[in-house]
Amino acid sequence: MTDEKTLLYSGYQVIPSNFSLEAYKYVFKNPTTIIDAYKVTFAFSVIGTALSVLLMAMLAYPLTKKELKGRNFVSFLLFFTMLFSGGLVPSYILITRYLHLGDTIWVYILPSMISVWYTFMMRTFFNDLPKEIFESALVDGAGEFRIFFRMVIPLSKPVIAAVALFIFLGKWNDWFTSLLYINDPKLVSLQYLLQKIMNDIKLLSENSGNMSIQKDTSSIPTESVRMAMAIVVAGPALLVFPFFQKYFVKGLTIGSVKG
Amino acid sequence: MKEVIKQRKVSTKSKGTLGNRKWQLYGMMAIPLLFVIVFSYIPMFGIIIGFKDYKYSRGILGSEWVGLKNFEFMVKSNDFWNITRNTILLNLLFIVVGVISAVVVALIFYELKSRIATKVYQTIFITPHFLSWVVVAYMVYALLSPEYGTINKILGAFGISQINWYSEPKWWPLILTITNTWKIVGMDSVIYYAALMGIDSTLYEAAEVDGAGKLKIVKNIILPCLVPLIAILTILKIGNIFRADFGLFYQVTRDSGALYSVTDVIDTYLYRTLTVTGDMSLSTSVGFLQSIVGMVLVLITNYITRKINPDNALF
Amino acid sequence: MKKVLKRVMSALLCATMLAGAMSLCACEKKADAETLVWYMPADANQPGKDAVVEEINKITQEKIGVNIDLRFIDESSYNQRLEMMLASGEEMDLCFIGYLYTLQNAIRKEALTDITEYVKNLEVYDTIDEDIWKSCTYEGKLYAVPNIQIMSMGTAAVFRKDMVDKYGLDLDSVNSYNDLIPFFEKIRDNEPDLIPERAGACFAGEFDKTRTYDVFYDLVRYNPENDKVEVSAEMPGGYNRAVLCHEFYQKGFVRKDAATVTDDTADLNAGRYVQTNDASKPGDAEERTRMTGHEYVSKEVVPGIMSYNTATATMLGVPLQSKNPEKAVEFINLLHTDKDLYNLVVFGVEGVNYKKISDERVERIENSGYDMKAKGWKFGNQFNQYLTPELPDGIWEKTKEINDNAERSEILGFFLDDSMITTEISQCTKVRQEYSKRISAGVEDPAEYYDEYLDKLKKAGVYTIRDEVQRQIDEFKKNNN
Repeated sequence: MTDEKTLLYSGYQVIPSNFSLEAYKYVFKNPTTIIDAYKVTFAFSVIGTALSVLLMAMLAYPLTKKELKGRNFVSFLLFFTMLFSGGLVPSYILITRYLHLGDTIWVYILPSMISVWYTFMMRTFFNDLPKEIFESALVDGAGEFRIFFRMVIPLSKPVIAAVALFIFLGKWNDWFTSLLYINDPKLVSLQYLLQKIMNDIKLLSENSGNMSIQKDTSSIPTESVRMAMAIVVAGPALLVFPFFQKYFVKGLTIGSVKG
Repeated sequence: MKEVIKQRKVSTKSKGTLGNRKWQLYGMMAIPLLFVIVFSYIPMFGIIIGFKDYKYSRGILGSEWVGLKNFEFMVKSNDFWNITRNTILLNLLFIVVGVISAVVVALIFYELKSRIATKVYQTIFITPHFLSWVVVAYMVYALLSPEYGTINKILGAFGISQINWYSEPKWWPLILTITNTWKIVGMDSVIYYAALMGIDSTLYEAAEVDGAGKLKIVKNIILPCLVPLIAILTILKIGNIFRADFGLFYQVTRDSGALYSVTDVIDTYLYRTLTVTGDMSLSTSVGFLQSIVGMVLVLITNYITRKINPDNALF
Repeated sequence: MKKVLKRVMSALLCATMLAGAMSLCACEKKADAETLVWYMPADANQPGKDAVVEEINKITQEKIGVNIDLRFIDESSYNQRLEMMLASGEEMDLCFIGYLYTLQNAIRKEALTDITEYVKNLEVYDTIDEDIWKSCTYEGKLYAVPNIQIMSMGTAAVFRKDMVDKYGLDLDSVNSYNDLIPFFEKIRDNEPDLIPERAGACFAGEFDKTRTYDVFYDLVRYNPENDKVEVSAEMPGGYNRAVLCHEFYQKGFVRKDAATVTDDTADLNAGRYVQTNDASKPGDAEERTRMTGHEYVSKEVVPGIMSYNTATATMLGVPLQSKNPEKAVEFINLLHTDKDLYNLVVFGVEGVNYKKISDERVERIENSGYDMKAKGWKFGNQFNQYLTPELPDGIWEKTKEINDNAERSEILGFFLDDSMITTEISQCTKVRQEYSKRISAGVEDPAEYYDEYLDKLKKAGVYTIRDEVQRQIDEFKKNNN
């Protein structure tokens, strides 16, 4: 939030000495791009988070059943994907050529649906839930789905809120998906707009040894504009935090459960 | 209510049969597993790219096998031991310092009885997570810049000679650890905090009534509850010990050549090679190498954990 | 509340499944033989593009009977995107090949169609210098058509004109960077807000005794005088430049924090550097003027050569997956020869995206929804491009003259196969990057570290690279004589 001259002449300072909103005006000079990106990012972050959390919980809960055959195998199957991946090319072929998800909002949501890391985290939490309540519910004739939705989920609000927050932030900061899969400028994510600037700078410096192209630095926004972009992009994500925080702080204890 | 708690504590793991419910549980897993299979396992055959001389005209399957040739550029390199050492040692440092500070921060939150204070502190701790490495790099630069940096100004004020941070490697393991911890501690602590919320407050109160001191409570009640989570998260992190956070090592160090001896890691080395050669097969093979090392380490850690307490193991 | 949440969740879940299923069975949009998909690196956010494409199609329909589907990819994403699209065989008929995705890379991956036969029958073949064709022919085959633009760029020093005038610098009498010292001293003492020189924008030696070499990975270069491949850093110029940089640092001509500044575009754009370097070409100073808002003047300090690097910097290629390579090449031909079409792609529609001032001069309309930033050099024949206000009259004639008279690289047509030396290249690149900033920032005395630098390069295998390049060049020369 410092004006550009101050930045140039005295460098970064922890406390800005010269306050200016010029950069923000510049960022919002052409607001449709940013507004589109906001809409898209918000949509896929919310939908993606909700679906991800639900599906991951559905995966994690059965894994806590020690009697379930193949439980360790599934855990290993999941873990394996954490470490090994076929790289970008096969995924790209699958997603664009066979599933036709390129240039749709679903490409932000579907491929990254299951995060193994958070699934395991949920599993650990579900493990700690008192099994006896479930057993008494079973005696009452409740099915596993009923137990899952009626008891497991409500009891695990803190972890679900925590995981949801992580996923939400992960989605909010997604720029690489836009880079690879999105052609339609109306569908790019907010973070991509910021990352593009950084990538442009990197591109210019990489090619600095190559005199055979004309380098045009004038399209690179000034540093204060970049900072303003960073704030505009990250800001709203900061605002969602209190919303999730409510759930951690409430802290649901066993006592509040009533079957 | 007390009944429930008691039951929980004395319960033994009943090894009954699931009967019909087995299918309900399998059904529940089916959709998420479908996603895993489609988006993770189907593309996995691409690992073979790392062992091939990939020509687009011949496709992945049709390209020629070249064995381990794609690994040579890194493994045969003079820098291999240096970048491996940097990657593993720094990651180990991050894991240890990260876990300890996250648990401590979570405990502090837990102990803070005032809700407003908790909220304020949590927000302060979590904010760094929202900042991209690029922004963090600017902030670090504001502190360490040789000419205008805050730290050098303070040093100057005390008459201590200024340090040219970006050309002195010896400080960087420390700087990187602090930066990394600062960025992740808030979010990691949220997980532990959520676990603490799950601890039965009656247990805690009972201990307090018995006159147990704070430390004793932490040691005997709180930590044991966190151990499973610490174990899982650490095992998972060990799986990625051979992977470095590119943003941290590239942006925060400003890719300063003078620091390479301690800050050059596998991912930055790969990046540099790719920018000059543009050969994708290299990144696939390096990724594979990282996975294999991670896999072996995780299997070992998991085995040990299982020996100690099977409940805490990953699988 | 819970119930609502649950319902929303299940609705969402159903929607996902549906979308998944739908996209699975969605009828594949069959590649229309009559439409050519053309990917270019440019700002992807151009709402006015469709209107321009419509106009393009009117021309192409009439002349070659096809439609063009022009798609833009942001420049900084282009490399990765193109790599993926080539690898996956995604529908594509034309793409930009060059500094963002090198011809060498595309050929090594066998990603492009051999278009030799198509090109040779078309007008475009005669409009391009045969030496240029030679330098992008690989094993007798053509895979991409080079754009026509400046083909020989050397290095120019550009100076802020107001400062040159104020302190009476006579550029004609300057023949080395040492001659600039008095001028820089005056700037340093009298212009506290300005920096005399951008760090590293200098080199040792006299201007009329230097030349541009064929350089490989910024590590080794081919010296035609003795027919030897040399390690650039070992040449006297390398060390002398380090000494000069150090001298300039000590004299306070460059910024003190140059060693740690990673991105100084802000200073560059603000015109804070009184002298910096640009690629030398007609209009270079004017370009710098446009970028900074301060008037600049230029002086060529190293003359350029026409080489593999310049000839292959900007081209259009036909990817392997194109179903209609013949038409694609015909379209490239049209871009080279049809002035209206060319300017339509560069500037958009007249009256909507730009105004014509005179026959050859145009002015862009701001925020009109289509802007290639006048980068006509990215495709076709730039000599057909209308002039924007900052370009001087006669610039294309001058450029053409330079191209025609440019010195030719002695190894035109040589392609380096680096697959045997990847390890050494990555090791040496690391060493080079470790030292290049130290050299250009000039903080340290090179006497203290330069030997160490050379030593590290040797250990990293720079001689292996040198010998391999030498071997390949020898072989190339044997086969071509």
